[in-house]
Amino acid sequence: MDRVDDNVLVGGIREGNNQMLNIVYTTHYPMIRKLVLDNSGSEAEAKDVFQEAIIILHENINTKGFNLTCKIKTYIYSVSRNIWLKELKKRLPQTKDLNDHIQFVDINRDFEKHEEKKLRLNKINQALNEIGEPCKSILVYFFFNQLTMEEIAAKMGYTNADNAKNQKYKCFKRLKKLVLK
Amino acid sequence: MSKDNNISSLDIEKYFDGELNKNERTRFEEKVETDAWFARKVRDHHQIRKDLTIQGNRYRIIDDMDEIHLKEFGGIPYLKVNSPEENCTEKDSLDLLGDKNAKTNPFQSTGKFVSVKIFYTGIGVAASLAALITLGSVWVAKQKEHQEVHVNSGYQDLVMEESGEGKDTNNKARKLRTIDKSIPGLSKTYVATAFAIAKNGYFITNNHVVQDCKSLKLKVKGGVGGWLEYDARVLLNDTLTDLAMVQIVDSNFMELGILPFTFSSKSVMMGQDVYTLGYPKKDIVMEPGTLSSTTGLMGDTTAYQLAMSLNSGNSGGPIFNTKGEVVAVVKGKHNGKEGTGYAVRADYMLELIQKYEAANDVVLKKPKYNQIQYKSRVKQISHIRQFVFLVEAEK
Repeated sequence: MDRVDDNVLVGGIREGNNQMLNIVYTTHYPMIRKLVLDNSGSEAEAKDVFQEAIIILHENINTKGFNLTCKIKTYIYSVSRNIWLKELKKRLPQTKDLNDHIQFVDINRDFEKHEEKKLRLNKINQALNEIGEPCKSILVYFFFNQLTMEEIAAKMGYTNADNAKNQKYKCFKRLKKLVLK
Repeated sequence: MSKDNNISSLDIEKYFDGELNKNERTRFEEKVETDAWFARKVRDHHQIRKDLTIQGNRYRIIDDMDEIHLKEFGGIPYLKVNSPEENCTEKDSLDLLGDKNAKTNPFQSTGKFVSVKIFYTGIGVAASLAALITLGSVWVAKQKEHQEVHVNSGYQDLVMEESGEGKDTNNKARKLRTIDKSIPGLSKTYVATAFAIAKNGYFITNNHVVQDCKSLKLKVKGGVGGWLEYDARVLLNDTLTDLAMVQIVDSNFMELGILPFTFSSKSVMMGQDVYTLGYPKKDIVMEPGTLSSTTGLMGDTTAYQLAMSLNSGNSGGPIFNTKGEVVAVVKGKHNGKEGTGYAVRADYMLELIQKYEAANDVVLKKPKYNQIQYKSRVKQISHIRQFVFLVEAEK
């Protein structure tokens, strides 16, 4: 694969260009796979670590005022390294460092923000699993799948969009209660 | 401040949806300005809305990435089996079964990452299979009970028989196996479908597929255009419901990724849309259909009737509802009546699994969360397909 300039990749990802995501993914996955497998991880764990790092990159790129101060490669490596080191320390408290030889940068600030976000999103996922139907479906259709209230009404069998809307307001109230409890 | 009382907490969501009129909006914003407690409520609300959107975007990115991963790096993430308690339970379960014939215990592997065995199928194999299918007369019900009950009713199992002739020339692996056997001419290979019920190598298929088999193999497409092939054995079977539980016993098998689908023992309503994935040809095929009756052949309460075009090779395939839950297992069809299929209800599958767990004092790693519930069928299938295997039973 031809090397594509980092700026082009960042721009492409910002515009939601899947071709660019594909390039970033395929170029860097083998590096992270090696890192995780070399440090007592599995293939599936390598995939999870890598995808989490890409999510962090993706969300940061789409955040106003975010500037990539190093190469994409270094960023992905540093974030993945952090994720996997943290996971290993959780499993084996005596873990000190990973066994690797690739240069990485300090991305602790981004990582801490990400961890906070992760906690919040976990709470939301948990609440969605507890809330029951029809609320779960309505909220998922609206916020995740971004369907219109008309489409949701049709899918859920409500007579019109207003009925679905009222149901959604009530559901959101319940979700909020569950998240904040 | 009395006018503020008109603003209820339901209005917060309306405000963010842009559903309040100008007057209401002004009052809402005034209240935020003057009422710190209310302002906090609004902030919390806004944060949850934002987080929901972020989570939705994440699911989308993960979906995209999974697709890239599947395409570029192959479907199945093979896990190293290295957790000690896992080894023990599995080993115990094998011992308890008292199976002296299990040649190799895959869970005693060294714990090192072993690259997977990939069999590249040449065009020759595909061509020979096509020829075999056209030979016809592939409807053989091997199971005696089945023959007795169904012989006059037009019932037909959906296992595909590969004739013994002609296949050796194209497939080295088969050639070797034929040499192994004492009377090679008498053995036949039957092809059907099995699907994973736990990530560590447990599968469900039909009893008639695996009954009395001399050897059993599970295959799935993996790697670059190749097949991953594993030795397997039967753990438990039930002739009444025609279900069987099989396990991969192959030192090359590590572990599957987490199953994205779950099982539903709830009754399916008549008229519900369903689909199955299976191997009526040497590639996975999706077949859509509808649940046409809540009982099977001659009032069989263990089965459903499906309006679905099923073929030999579909036996043992999972039937999914629109949420991507397994609700039944394909077992047969009505010969001569177009589009009449039968599938065993998932409750009986869960019963069989429980029976195995109780008898061997193990708990299988069944999936807990359905990750594909809100995905389109196309996306569901791209997640599911790597867990639906081709069964090759030599009898």
